[in-house]
Amino acid sequence: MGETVAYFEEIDIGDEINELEICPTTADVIRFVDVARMQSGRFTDNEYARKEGLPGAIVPGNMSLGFLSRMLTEFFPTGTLKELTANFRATVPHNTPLICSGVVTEKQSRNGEHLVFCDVMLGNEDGERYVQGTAQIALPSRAD
Amino acid sequence: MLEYDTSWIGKEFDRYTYNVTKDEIIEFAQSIGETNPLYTDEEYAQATPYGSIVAPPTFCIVFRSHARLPDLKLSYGKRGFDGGKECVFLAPIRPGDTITGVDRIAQVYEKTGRSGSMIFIVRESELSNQRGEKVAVVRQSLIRRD
Repeated sequence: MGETVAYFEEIDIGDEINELEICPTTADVIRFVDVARMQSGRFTDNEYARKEGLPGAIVPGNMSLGFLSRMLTEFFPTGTLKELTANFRATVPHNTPLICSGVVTEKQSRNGEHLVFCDVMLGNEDGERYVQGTAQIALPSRAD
Repeated sequence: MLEYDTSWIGKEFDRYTYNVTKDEIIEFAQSIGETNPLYTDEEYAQATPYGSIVAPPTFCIVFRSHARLPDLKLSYGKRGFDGGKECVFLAPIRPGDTITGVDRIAQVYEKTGRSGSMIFIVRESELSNQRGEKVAVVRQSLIRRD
């Protein structure tokens, strides 16, 4: 398996998706919430976030979702992301190295589609899991 | 037992419209560090089967209702936070699209965890383009607790 996977036949259950390492800074979060129209002090202002009972300003769940999507579309460049679910288990701090990872749990060909199912996760370098979810990607097949 | 106003389940409570621009798509892609030129480079995208720039899948989360949730008359749950998302991507979103969102309460349920009881309110946003094609369905789990 190379750096990316183009065809359904190139990946198997148990294979790991190439990890994506990111470190969203406060400036990155400010840019994201502006583009995503989700301005709130809880994402950009430590003092405001603390008043809401948070440890400080946090990375929005939607931004974490974007990082997981990016990991999948970079690893499966010919694929189509069909579904992505994410449970936000813990708040994600700014300026912290994060790792997106995933593993293939199932493969199915049905109704003319070749689908790969994955478990996906976003956590820190100490193994703490902030976001956990699943994904479904349709890939082209060499048999088509 | 959880008590709330069940009449809101499945009922539309908000409808909203957004026009999609190429600049917005590029800015969104750049804000999450996307490296695929399909999302940012028109010349590259024209040579692909898509024929133009398309939005990264999770761009669909920018179409947000600003309406408050209907009053479900919940018996508890003063504080709220985002518990998670489920996105189903059905068709590409392109520059020039007009996206209409329709929001409903899909489900309300209770769970008891280590820290006590929580109420999950599942808000479903169905997004369609100007041709009536469904482009995405986003289900957001809002968690409320005392």
